[in-house]
Amino acid sequence: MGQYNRLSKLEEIWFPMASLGTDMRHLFKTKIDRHEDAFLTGEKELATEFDTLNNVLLDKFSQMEEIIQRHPQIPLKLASIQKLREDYMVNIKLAKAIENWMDEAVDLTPKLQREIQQHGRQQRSLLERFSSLDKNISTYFIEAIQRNKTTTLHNTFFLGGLFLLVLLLATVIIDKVATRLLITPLATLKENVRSFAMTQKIIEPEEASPSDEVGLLASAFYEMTKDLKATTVSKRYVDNIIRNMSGALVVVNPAGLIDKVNQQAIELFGYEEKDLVDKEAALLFVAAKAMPLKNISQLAQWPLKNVEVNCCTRDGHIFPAHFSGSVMDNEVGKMVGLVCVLNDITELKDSEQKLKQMALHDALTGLANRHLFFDRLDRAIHEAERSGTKFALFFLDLDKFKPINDTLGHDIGDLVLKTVASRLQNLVRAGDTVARMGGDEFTMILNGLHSDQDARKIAAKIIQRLAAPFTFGNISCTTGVSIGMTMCPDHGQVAEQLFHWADQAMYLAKNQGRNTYCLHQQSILNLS
Amino acid sequence: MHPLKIISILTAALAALLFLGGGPVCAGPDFIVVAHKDNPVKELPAAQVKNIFLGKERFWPDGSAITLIMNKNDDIHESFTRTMLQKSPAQLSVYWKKILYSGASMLPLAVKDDEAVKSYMSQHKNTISYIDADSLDKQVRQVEVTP
Repeated sequence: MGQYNRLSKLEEIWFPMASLGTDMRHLFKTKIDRHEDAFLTGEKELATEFDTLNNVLLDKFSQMEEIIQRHPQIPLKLASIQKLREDYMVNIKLAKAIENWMDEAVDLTPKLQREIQQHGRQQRSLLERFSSLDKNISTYFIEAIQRNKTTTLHNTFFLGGLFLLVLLLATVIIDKVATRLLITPLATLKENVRSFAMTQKIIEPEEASPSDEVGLLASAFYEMTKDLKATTVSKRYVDNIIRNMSGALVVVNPAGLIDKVNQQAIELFGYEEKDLVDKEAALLFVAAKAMPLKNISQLAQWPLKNVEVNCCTRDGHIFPAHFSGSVMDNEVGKMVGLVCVLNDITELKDSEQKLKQMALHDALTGLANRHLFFDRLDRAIHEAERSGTKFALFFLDLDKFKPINDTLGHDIGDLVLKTVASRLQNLVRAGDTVARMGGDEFTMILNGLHSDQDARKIAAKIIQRLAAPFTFGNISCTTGVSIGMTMCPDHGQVAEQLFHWADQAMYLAKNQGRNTYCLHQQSILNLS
Repeated sequence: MHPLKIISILTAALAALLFLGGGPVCAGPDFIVVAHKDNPVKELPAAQVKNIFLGKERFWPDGSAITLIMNKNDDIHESFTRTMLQKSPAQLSVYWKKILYSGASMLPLAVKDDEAVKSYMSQHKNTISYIDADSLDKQVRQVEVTP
């Protein structure tokens, strides 16, 4: 860059040169004026001033020549300056000569006049040369300034461009470095964090150098998540368990208000979640009195396991449920709530009922079976003994039932049996028992009788009822019944004995021509 | 200079000024402009005379150079310079010395009196000068100065 050189060129060459050129022209012009004045007025003193001017002018010549010698590149020829100086010196000599003739007294002969004329012409031409030198220097000066300006402008553009380029380069480099060292690792780390948050998967980062802060951060994060995963169960995991558990979960706070319910609870009770949260937990139970949540502060009773309670849905439907509850403590051991699990046991109850039915009743007719019958018989014996009342034990066997089975089929036979059971059931009071012993044998316990007369009346009624025909569609059949009767305590207080005698009495009735009854005749036996 | 002459000159000048309304002053009776007797120029306007004697017009109509002859007869010279050139003799001298100093021209020829003028003029055809009106003879011819 020639900035400095150009400036210094201006400073070292053109400023002084311009000033020298102008000075020289001025000095020479002054010299002419003074000399002319002296010539015209004849005052030689005016011309003496010219000597001083002359010395100064010659000094200027020397300065200019020196500058030109020092800077040979400038477009001014040293020779032309030197020539000007020589011509100037010649002119000075002539001028000096003229000074001598300035006296008015001296007659200006044609010869002298010609010398003055010559001097005048020289002087004029010299003045022109001084002027032209000054003008040329000014032109060069202006050109130099112009060049300088242009260069400065170019330099400014160049510097501006360079600055922009450097700025751009710096930006690109910083961007690259930042991307490589910071943004990319951070993005990876962010992805890892997100991945961990979404899927619980953790990706082991690359080995980080001790100077790579982001890399170390990624490693630290990796360690942390690994530990976290090893030691904690995620909320999602717990939520999964809660959602997928079969029981209804109800979390109750110490004030007895529902804190949280799961989907099963919502479905079970038919409420919406907002209808349950912050409501009294008692809402869900029938007979709040019996409800274990009545006073949850009685911690002694906790935990409760599979307590049977009755629950109430939003529609008012009541269903049995197993209730389990345990206290939930916080870190410092303070109770923060109860975790209650309710399992609907309606089906369980039904099954239980069914099993019980199956165990104690006859499958075809629904009447008590042999087992239940003997149980009832024992109870009836005890009751009779305790209260001093009587009861009758009937043993029934259908007459001519086998032909029905054989001719009309077992289905009709079964229907007959069921109808018989139904007709018998309708003839007895609520506390009485009708049981089927198997085949076409039935037994009955008739409580609260006063005498065997009562038993006879009932037996007659039974025979009458069962004599009625059985009609199933277009099939109709008839049967009859033979009844053996024993009375308790009249005939004994041992179940097996009473049963046996009733059986015997039934056979007697069969022997007496069927479709009749026969009371056990202890006296007869005793008599015989 | 005779006092009457001065008075008459002044009177004439005044009259001329009054009559002509400040126009060019006519040659007084003191001097006359003269040229070679063969010179065809019979009259010149005052302005042209002034130009010729100040070196501004240098050629006759036929193309020949005009040679000026200054008359060193002081009275006539001063009368001429003041009347025709509106300058003192010293001013005119400096005027011509300035021209000489610049190198443009040499000083005009100067002769000592009317006789010298007439004598030189008779031998140099392209000359012009001025003399006392009384000195006019056949050697030279007067050129009428018109306003």
